[in-house]
Amino acid sequence: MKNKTLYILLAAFVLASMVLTACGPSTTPEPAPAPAETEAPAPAPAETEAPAPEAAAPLVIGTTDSWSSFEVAWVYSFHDWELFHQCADGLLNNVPGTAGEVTPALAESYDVSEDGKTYTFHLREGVVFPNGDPLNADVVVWSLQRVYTIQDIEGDNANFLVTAYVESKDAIKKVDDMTVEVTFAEPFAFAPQLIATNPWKIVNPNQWTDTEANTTNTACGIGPYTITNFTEGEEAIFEANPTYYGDAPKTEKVIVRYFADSPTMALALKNGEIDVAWKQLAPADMDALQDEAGITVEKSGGTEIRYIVWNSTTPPYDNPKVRLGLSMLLNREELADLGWQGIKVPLYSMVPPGFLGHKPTFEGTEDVEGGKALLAEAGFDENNPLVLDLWYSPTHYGDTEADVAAVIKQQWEASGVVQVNLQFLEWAAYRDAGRAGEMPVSLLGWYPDYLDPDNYTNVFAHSPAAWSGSFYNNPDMDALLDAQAAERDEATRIALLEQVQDLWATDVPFTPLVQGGLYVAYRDGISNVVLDPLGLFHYFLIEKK
Amino acid sequence: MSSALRRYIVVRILLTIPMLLILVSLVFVVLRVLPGDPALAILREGASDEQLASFRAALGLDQPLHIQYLNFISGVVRFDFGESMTRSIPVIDEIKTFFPATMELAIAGMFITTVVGIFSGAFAAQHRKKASDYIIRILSIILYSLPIFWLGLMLQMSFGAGLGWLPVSGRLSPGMTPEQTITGMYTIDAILTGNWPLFKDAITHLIMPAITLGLVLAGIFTRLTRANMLDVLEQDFITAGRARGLKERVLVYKHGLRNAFIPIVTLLGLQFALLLAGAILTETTFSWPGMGRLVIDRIYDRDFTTVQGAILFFALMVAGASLIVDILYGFLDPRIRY
Amino acid sequence: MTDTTQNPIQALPADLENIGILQRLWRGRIWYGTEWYITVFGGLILAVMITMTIFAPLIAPYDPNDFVGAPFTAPGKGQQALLARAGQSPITDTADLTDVVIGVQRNRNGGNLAKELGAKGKRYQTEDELLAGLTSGEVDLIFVNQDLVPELLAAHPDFEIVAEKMGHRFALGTDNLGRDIVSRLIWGARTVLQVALSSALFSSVIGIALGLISGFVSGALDRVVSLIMDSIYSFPGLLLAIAMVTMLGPGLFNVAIAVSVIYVPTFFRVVRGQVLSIKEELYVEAARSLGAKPITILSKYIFPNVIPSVVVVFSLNVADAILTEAGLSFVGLGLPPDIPDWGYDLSKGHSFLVAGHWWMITFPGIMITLVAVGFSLLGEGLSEILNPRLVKN
Repeated sequence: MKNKTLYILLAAFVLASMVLTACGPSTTPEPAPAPAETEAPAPAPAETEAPAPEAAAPLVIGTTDSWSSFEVAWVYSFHDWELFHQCADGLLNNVPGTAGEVTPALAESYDVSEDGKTYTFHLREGVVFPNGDPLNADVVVWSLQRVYTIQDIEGDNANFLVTAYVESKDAIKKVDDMTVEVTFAEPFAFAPQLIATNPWKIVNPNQWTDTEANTTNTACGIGPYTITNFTEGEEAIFEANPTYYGDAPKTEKVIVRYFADSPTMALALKNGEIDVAWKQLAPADMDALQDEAGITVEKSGGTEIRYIVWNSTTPPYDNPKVRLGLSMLLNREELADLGWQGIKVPLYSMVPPGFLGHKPTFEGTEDVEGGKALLAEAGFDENNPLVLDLWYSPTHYGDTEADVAAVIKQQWEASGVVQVNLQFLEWAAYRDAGRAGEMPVSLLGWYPDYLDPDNYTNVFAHSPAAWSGSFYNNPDMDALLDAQAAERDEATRIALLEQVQDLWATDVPFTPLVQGGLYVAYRDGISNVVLDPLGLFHYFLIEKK
Repeated sequence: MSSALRRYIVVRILLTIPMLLILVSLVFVVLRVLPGDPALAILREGASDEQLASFRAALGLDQPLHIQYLNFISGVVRFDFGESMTRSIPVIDEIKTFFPATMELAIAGMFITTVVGIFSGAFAAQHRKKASDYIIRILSIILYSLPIFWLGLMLQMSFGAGLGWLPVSGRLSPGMTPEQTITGMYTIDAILTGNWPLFKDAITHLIMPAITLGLVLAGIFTRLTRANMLDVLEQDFITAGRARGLKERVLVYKHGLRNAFIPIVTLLGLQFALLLAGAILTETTFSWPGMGRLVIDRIYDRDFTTVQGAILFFALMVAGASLIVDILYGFLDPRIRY
Repeated sequence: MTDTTQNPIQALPADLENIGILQRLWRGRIWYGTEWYITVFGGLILAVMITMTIFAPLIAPYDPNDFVGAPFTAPGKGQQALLARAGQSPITDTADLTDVVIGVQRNRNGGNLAKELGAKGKRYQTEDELLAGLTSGEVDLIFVNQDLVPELLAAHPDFEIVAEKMGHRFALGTDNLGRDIVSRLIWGARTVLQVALSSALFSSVIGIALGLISGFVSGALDRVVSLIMDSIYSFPGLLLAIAMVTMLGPGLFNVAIAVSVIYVPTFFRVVRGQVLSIKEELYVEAARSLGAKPITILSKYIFPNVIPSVVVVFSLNVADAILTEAGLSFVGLGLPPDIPDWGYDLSKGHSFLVAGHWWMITFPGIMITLVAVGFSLLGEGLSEILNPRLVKN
């Protein structure tokens, strides 16, 4: 193999320079550092924990994400959520591999009241926590009310997924020993999806306190696995929970390994140090691993979307013609190919395909001449080009972001009527400037909180639209958004959502760019890797031979 | 210990305190001036203003700056670095998790630097103005002109991915993490507990990062050793030894090196700061879970307390190292009076 | 060569005054020996770099920000061949391909070329799909990389070449967006030198000024300034640069300032140390007793004596600043991609290293090393020539 020769040459070169630099009289220093020599002589080998030979090799999953919390009310980042997902179930669970379907978990079944506001959960009999404590209505009520308590003491984090939707703390009630009732403030269509989110997971009052958040408590709740060891930045070890009520996990032991960046993770996969390379395998590395023997790369549609934010209060972006004109100059296919190595797909509506009411109203709008005409109406042409600053954040969305910005710049400038300066800020500063309205044109991304078109439209375009830095305010849009959120008839709701998307394509509060895919690479011998639209990874389903 | 030496040490320590205070105050101000705060960095894109405000209040970020500063300083004085703003665990625990990795890497890197640096430096000095001297000098210049991560990546690609001799990342193979640690430095723990499989595993993971870190710094070290050796080799006792017919090798490596050792030890102490700094990029390249990565990640997260604590800790280590070197200096060279 | 070069300056013969500067430089090798060669070698590297910087617009074959070729074109590659099914080529004249439909492969074969020639590219995801597209008659023409041609024709005898060697060749290849690496390297030299030199300039101006004043005035001021400088010095440099860049925002000038902060203490220490010892020299004492103003003493007697060591430190710091800037880019906080920059290219190269696109990381790495070596050699050589004792102390 040609590559091999290259590596050997490279190695030889490095070695040679080391030897040359160190060509002391006789002692060419060993490349192996041996701090051992500086140490006191080792004590006689005592009876220590030599790693016990495992029956089956553990499954090793690599990630570049970083952990931040095991506190149930705070587990919100994707990675924390994913870890917690392996060791704690909710009353309802998401069905792996589906977009938003839920299945009864700790609750065996549930009823919804006439007005759609009150949910009554019938708990599963005989369920115990890993330490043997039983699950009952008191535990569930305590656990859910705890989310309120923690919010009062330590502030809102992911707590809002309970507290912003449930009527009040007292609306979580024990009916009898095995029945719990929760009343929501409104008849939310997506309430079951909410209940499957993390802060709704049930934890053990004997292992958790409701006086303070506990980010390092690895007790979790009731799940297929328990966490047996966690070293921040190094690894997390999961072992099967013997008392689990559901199907036993396919692999007895799972180890999550932390990496600083994707190339290193990809190398480790090639090297056989890990079995599965998961988030965030960079597009470049996924492309590389695709051709590698012994490694399978799997992709599926995701729910992440990427879009442009226009500050609708800053001229000339307060003019919908400018927003639409610039959007028309884009070529999403090229953007996805070059900027993201083709792992994301063009997106023609803020509501991704597969969701209720999806209507790709931006399809067919990619038209350079049309865009130039619109910009000309707004007063920009070859002699008076539109000079704009395009803002991006270099690391938060992976290392492709600078390329994406460069491709957009190139597409806009190719028209001859736009001049782009690229600007970036590191994430926290970027968010600060965005909220302060300091960035006229910027790139953002979105992972949904719950799988409903509401979460792709209402959150963005409903006034005051301040969090994104758009400040878009259109009463017509507000009216449509409010109407669809309250509508319980599906056909009418679809019609309303389509109207929202039609208005979107002419008024352009945000410009959808691409939809993210999920991708994972694993070595031979690994099977049953289920990619979930929600972006969750189900360790307990994966088999290793 | 002489009373002069004791007095000197006390003065040194007293001088270190204002330096550290200035440093942590600088860090405090710099962090507060940075745009963005932990709430923005941690909460998601769509977080509402109320959510942000409640998060900030819980972290005490809504208090006036001088109150925050006083709280912080009064904590530092009591050696209480506070609680991580984004992880809600004591900063000292974070440091305990991440520091041993950096220390292990730094010691191993230092070992490589010293061995390569001293021998090549001495060798160059011995062969002054000969071809080998020039080659070593040029090579050492090239070494410290290499972008450290570039060298790391090249090693990773050749010995790791290309030849498969060494693992490319991390401190141990998956699942090898010992249940209990003594120092947190796995190689040393392994020796202390006589756990040889662990030792082998830790060493194989340590080799490449240590070489990367060590080689780049070895360039500087070679240059300094050479200069010091030239100084020593010009001194009378070497000339006398030569006249008495002692072998050149004995002269250079026994008598010369021993005398050049004092300034070299000093440099070793100063190098320590450089080593810790160089460790940041090495840690990123090799996914080495150490302090450098911790601090970079937490600057991004605006985890003020952790960054403050970690940098103060860094500074304490550097100050401690230079203090120890100074004291050693006193013991090694009785001519030095304070 | 004997070791009589303790103070080489005085060993210069008098007639040297009468010859040209170049000749003087050339003769210098006799007195300075190795150091001379080292200095000149470093100087030569830098001269080449500076020439590149000044004439970048003339030397660079392409605009460094233009997507001129297919992404990931390997060094020396890039030309394309136009293939058709044998005897079925719809065109005979390849001079004008406007609006001709040609099959291309995403990010590989011909995508850019089709666009450049005004042809309509039909995009295929993989090479197999591209070939199948031609075989099945979905398209009548396809672009493939020139060096694939023999292999393809052997496997598909029903194909024929319509045109060969179309488009550009890229001596060092292209990056992930199809930008020419040679052009980026040439333009990048400009950026790197700008950042490194201006940051060294900032830090030297501030460091020298503070060092002169602090060393000369002494007392409480000296102690306070020294303390602050020591604090900055014990702060890991890269972290400080990261914090500064975050605070100042992006941009060439801001990065230069962020990097410069790290090196202020280095200048300060060297200058202050020198001032402290020069201050005690007899001629300074004499000037003082003759009633010279402090400002005169500083500017006339002390400052000139500090210059040699400052030059050395400056040179070494530029080398270090280049590496720090690259480090900033490596952690994602360097310059935006429309400013060609080796550090950025290097971090991009890192992303694509596993994919085997080694040229993306190799060449910028070599350039950075080369320039850093240039400045280090210059500093090293000068340090012994200008100030033989500096290195030892």
